[in-house]
Amino acid sequence: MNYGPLIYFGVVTSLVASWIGFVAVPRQTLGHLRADLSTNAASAVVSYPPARSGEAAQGRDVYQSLGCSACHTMQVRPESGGSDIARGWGKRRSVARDYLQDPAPLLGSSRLGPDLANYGERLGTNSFALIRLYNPRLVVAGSICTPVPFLFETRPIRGGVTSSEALSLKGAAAPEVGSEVVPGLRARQLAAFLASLSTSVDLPEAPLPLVEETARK
Amino acid sequence: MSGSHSNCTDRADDVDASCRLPVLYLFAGGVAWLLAGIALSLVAAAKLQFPSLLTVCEGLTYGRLTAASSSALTLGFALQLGFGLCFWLLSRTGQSRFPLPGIAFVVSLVLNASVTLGVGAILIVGPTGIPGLEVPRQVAPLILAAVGLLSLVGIAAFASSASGSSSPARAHLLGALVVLPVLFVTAQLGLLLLPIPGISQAITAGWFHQGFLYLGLAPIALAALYYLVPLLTERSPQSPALTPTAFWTWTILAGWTGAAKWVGGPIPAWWITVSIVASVLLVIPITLFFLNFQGACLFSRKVTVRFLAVSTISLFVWGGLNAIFAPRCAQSVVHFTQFAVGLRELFFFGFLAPAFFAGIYAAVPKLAGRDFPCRISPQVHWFFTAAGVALMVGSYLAGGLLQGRHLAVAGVPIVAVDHSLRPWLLLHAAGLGLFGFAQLALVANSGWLLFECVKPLKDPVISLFTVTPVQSASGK
Repeated sequence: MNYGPLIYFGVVTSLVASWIGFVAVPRQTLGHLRADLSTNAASAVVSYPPARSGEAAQGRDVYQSLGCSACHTMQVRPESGGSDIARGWGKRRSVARDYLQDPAPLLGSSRLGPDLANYGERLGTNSFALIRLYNPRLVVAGSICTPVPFLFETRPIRGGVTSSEALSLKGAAAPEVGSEVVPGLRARQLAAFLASLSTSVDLPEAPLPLVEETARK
Repeated sequence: MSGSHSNCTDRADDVDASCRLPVLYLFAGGVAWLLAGIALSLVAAAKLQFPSLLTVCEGLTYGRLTAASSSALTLGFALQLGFGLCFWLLSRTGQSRFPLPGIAFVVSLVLNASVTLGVGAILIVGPTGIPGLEVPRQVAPLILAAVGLLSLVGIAAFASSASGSSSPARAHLLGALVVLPVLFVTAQLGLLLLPIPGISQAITAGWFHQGFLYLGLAPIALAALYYLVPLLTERSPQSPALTPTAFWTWTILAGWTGAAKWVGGPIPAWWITVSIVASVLLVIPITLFFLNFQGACLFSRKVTVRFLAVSTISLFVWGGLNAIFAPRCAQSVVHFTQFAVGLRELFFFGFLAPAFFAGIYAAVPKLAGRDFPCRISPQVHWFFTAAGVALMVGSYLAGGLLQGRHLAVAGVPIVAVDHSLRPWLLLHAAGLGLFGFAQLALVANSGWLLFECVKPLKDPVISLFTVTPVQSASGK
């Protein structure tokens, strides 16, 4: 017997049901969140998440184009779901509002490297970030993170004066005498993006632990 | 009696000849992309062992290599081979000549070209970061157009059936052909052309990716099981009455599993809960599939049936592990680890790929009009495929559990976690190498077959376009 039409409509109905659940409803509900509400601990209204600077926004594109999210996540799980907060990867769990400034959230699904949702808070100086990108093993011994030296330029020192942007490399990593390693535009953009990563803002749906404790007292 | 048998054989040959060109082209393209995907994965695996390897070339970062490999395997290998197998099965089960073979061939060329562009663009420009659709947004519409047209051709083939019946194999094929274009249109519009900034994209991307694997590709592999197992073992499914239940529970549940991987993530909990429940309940149709096929598949000496046995067992193991590790308590251990990658590989390399290989071994001799010339090569292919999958998946499952245990302890630095994972990564690479070696056996045998076919022909190119019945070397 020919059940073709029944199968066709059954499959379509089933697919449309899941489409409503996973495409239409998220767009209707989460798509309407706006980056215009939050109060900090001093009850001052702040905009969260803040818009990224041009350089950091372009750095996000560099991050995406290099495929960094193959090894790094950008989502902090609650304390009940893992050791993310205990590891210092964030002060609170990540929520939908944290990603409103991202054209496409780069959540990641593998942790061969650490979570980066709040990397800007623990990054330190800009030169540290750049050396980290140039060769991660200079900063973290044994790291399996892929270096990105193609974002840097090794060039002769001009006029006998080392550029203020030159990386401070020592030992075997140091360039030849008379040369320096300077970050290219995309390396600076990527470093600016990493420095911008921070979600430690008190939100109604995800209070910071300290604020929560104060409120209880 | 003999006249009737001769008529049947002629009809089958005629049906095979009608779809020969697009199916053989899609098979060849699929296998080529499989080799390309494995090669890219092997380079990526080498970079995990030697991070400073090939760092001068931006196109060979670990992230780009994995994205390119994933696209080559899903869009290049599985999608093309899936369409090829789908067309052959539709023609065979419908006992009718394949309509529009010329259009199917041209669209297959477009699909192959767009996947080539896409994978190249990932290496040169970078991925989109959307799982299952990593190719740049400029290339994605071409893939959508090709998928849509090939699906329409497939639906036309379904509608033109001479038998008019809806066997389980045909039901699964129709399901896949209906689902694939809808998934790709939604992904194009919702993720690439009209995206809404924020987290809703992640939910849509999860729906697309799981839907593509579970509702687009898996039904084609299941159709191959439903058609080939009774044909080759001469034993029908053990409980045919369970087939509709298995089909409908799979079709209804599989579309709701997309958010299970966001456990603890920044999306509302109800989506995650629904997906966890759907993932656990998937064990029902999988058990029914297994019950139907395990008796027929497990003890056969035919290499095609052995591939189907690997596929059946892998699906069953995958279903069980997927159900056990879907709940939140288990996810907190294996989340973000290589365990999750191992489960995906079990589904892809363990279930989908062997079913497609079985399809190749069943279809190509009929389409080419002669058997594969080397008798040992298929055995080698099967053995190293099974061994490769076992090593790949086993190493990632075991290594992932260890990685999860270490990640759960805040005092263990991430470098130490990676250090403990390295032997497992190496084992995985060895498994991938075995799997790749197995495919070389298939390629060599196929090349030999092609040479044997082309050798006696005066004009081999024109002969591909003809639909003259050819004498099949073996039976049905």
